[in-house]
Amino acid sequence: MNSTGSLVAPSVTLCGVGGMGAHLLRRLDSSPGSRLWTLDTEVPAEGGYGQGPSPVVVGRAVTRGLGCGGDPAHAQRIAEEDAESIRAQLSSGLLVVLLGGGGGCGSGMGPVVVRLAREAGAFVVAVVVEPFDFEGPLRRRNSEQCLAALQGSADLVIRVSNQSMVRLHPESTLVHDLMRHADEHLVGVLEALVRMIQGPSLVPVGIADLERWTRGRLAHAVAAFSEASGEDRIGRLWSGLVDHPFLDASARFAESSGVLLHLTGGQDLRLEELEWLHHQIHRHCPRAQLVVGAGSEARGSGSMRAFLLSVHHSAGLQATPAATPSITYAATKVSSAGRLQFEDVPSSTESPGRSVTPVVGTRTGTRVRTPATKPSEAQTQFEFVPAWTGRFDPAEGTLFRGENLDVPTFVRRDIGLN
Amino acid sequence: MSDNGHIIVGLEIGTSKVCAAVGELTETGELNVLGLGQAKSRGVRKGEILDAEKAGDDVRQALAEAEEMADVDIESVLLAVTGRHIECANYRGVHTIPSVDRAIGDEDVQLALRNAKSQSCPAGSEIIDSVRQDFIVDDHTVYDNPVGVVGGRLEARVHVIRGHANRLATSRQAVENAVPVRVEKPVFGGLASALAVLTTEQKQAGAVVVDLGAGTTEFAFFHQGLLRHSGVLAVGGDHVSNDLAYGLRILIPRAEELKLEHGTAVARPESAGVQVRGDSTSLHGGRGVSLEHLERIMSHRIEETLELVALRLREADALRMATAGVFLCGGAARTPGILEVARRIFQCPVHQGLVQGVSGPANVLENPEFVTAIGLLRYGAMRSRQRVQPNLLGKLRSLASLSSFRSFLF
Ligand SMILES: Nc1nc2c(ncn2[C@@H]2O[C@H](COP(=O)(O)OP(=O)(O)O)[C@@H](O)[C@H]2O)c(=O)[nH]1
Ligand SMILES: Nc1ncnc2c1ncn2[C@@H]1O[C@H](COP(=O)(O)OP(=O)(O)O)[C@@H](O)[C@H]1O
Ligand SMILES: [Mg+2]
Ligand SMILES: [Mg+2]
Repeated sequence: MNSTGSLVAPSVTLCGVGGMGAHLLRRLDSSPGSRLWTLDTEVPAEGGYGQGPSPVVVGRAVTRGLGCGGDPAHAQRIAEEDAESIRAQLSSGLLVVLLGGGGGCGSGMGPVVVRLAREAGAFVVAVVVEPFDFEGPLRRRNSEQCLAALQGSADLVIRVSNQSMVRLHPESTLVHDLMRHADEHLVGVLEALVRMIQGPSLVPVGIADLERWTRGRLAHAVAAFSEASGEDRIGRLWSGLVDHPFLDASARFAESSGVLLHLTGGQDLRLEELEWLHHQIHRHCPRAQLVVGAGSEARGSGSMRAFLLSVHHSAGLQATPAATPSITYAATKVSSAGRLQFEDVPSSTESPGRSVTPVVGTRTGTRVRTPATKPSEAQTQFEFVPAWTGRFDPAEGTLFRGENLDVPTFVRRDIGLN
Repeated sequence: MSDNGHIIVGLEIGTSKVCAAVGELTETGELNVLGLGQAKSRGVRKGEILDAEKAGDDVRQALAEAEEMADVDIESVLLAVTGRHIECANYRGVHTIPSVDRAIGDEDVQLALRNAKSQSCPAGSEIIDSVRQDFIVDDHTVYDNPVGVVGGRLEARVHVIRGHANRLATSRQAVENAVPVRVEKPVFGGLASALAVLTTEQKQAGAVVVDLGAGTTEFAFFHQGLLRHSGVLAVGGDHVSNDLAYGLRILIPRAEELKLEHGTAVARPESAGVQVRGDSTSLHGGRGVSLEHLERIMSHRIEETLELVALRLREADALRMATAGVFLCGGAARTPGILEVARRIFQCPVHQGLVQGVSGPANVLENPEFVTAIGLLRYGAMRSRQRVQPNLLGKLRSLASLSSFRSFLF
């Protein structure tokens, strides 16, 4: 990672749980300002103690350092019994927990780490690597259960799928090559995530922007990244995102309820490029609320990188009616001030209807949660309700400096009506 | 009557109304409005045609009314265009005079202008107008007209207004498919409004015209007789009504009605606790709404719109140089209190923009909504004068009189 900013970047801790988690951390470039540690029930076979992140091995007495045999319940018990060793590693900053969902250790201990970290005041993002189909139904079930547990506890869960790589390869491909290719994509996504959090920012956007949409709901995000330079870089950057295996495989990009896009380029990032991307996202995901951020990076000329998170809410759990999309740049003062909440959103464009009841003064929470926030405070239920644009087609928003001017001014300015 | 070259027709397909003005340019150069027709506009959003068929119907109605009142057959129109696809910017074009010690000729000027124009048109867009500003010879001296000056390097400055080729074609076709009338040329609505409102002296001294329409807000800035800056914002009176509908939880037609009846640009303390109902005879009557909320919602939108315009104007330092002030026209300029708010935001004198130097029925001339259509007549008049002049008066005379209307050389 090339974090070149002079500003003090927020501290981030990366924690790999289980074999896959540790494996991923070893593959990441060392990241200045971030701390890496791993948690496992077995002593890592590769990487050793030397150059890799410092491992915390729990449950030695039970497992003799030989692992948990792929049993998440067993791993969970171990982690809970040794909670003190885990707590010793935790702080109140931003924690990214990485794990492979199909195994036992990561899927069993991951949710425990997340819970303890939340109790310590951390903001927790969990990245779950979902198994290949060839690993069998048991591992798939492990992964699904782990995902469900994490969705209820982490601030944000990002799903990345090993299986999505399979389509890209002929059947004769070696499993080893397939896994290395998957690793590259996983590492790419993680690096982009860290770059977004830590890199020098032009238009700051954070995980906290997304968390606003996911908190208290069964939500998850799918991630993609791409890189392009030269002629039509923005067009190729965009196709790199939409064709990215992790995004493409989810086949639900179009139904995203929120999209976070983070761009890093040199000094040559142009407004029209941002706007063009905006437009594409709108066309692709008409229901999505959008947050765009940009980071600057002193890199080779003309090169640009993009990181995208597409947020989904699990079906059947949404109380909100069909959403009208809107755009919020994280950088605007207005959106950072929070937005008004509405109990209902009119569905007909011509009639705001009687059902719109503004509940003035209920904010969507501060944009970046202070690490010290008590977990209980963060439990408040927040509805994801996109800003209303009434008679104007949300897909044709009047954008000006990142604000959709079709959204009522008093709403964007957070002016109360009482 | 229309083939004598003295009838000019301006057509604005606005977001709230379609307006056609028929004008007559007399032998002595006076402009009279002979007729005006209007229809409610149903096919336009934010200045752009969404439903060409409805827009065509509305155009037909407005033109028929104007034809009848003026008693002429309309053959062609100048068409006002607006919308956020319109882009306005200044460009420079350089032409190197091939041999030294040669006076700059007309051809050199044309070449420099062409170079300026050529950089300004990306694929898919079309130049609506390229308005000549001034010239710089050899990196220092500024000339209104460099013909006859000896120099090696000629730089032309132009203000280019361009739009999306497709959008422009849509507007043109909406008219031409609906009525047997030819669209002579599209004209940026903001420029047309400025031409209607500003006198020669004001353009010289420095003045801004802001047209506050239903779907768009256009502006144009003149200084030293030249068009220096212009632009459009896709925000207007419809946004005010939309905000009110939302905040007061009423339907849009009722919001529109309450706005016209009770709207102000400034929230007044005495409105606290007051309930208003709107026109009691209205179909949309219903429960009362808080006047305080209405004013608060509305004042924020208007303030923001003017602030956005101010931001754009400051790009060209227009507010500092507009010694004659800012002139507001368009329907939303009727909003009570808007001049005071605009003064506070623009920090310069602000006036109601009224049509200048055109005769016609007073009830036509005093409407801020008709300014654009009438401005098109002025545009047409300047254009036809420019076209006939060289033939009539010869080159010398034409050069001598250049500066008197150089604000209008293309
Ligand atoms: N792409 C990739 N995925 C892996 C790799 N190792 C493990 N996984 C995935 O991670 C899941 C959990 O494996 P592992 O971390 O070894 O299990 P645990 O130690 O019990 O948590 C597996 O089901 C795989 O889908 C690897 O090297 N590359
Ligand atoms: N008295 C008034 N107060 C506030 N707004 C007004 C008033 N009269 C007209 N308007 C607004 O002016 C707009 C119409 O202006 P107009 O210049 O005709 O627009 P367009 O050219 O876009 O059709 C409408 O949004 C209308 O609500
Ligand atoms: Mg393991
Ligand atoms: Mg208008």
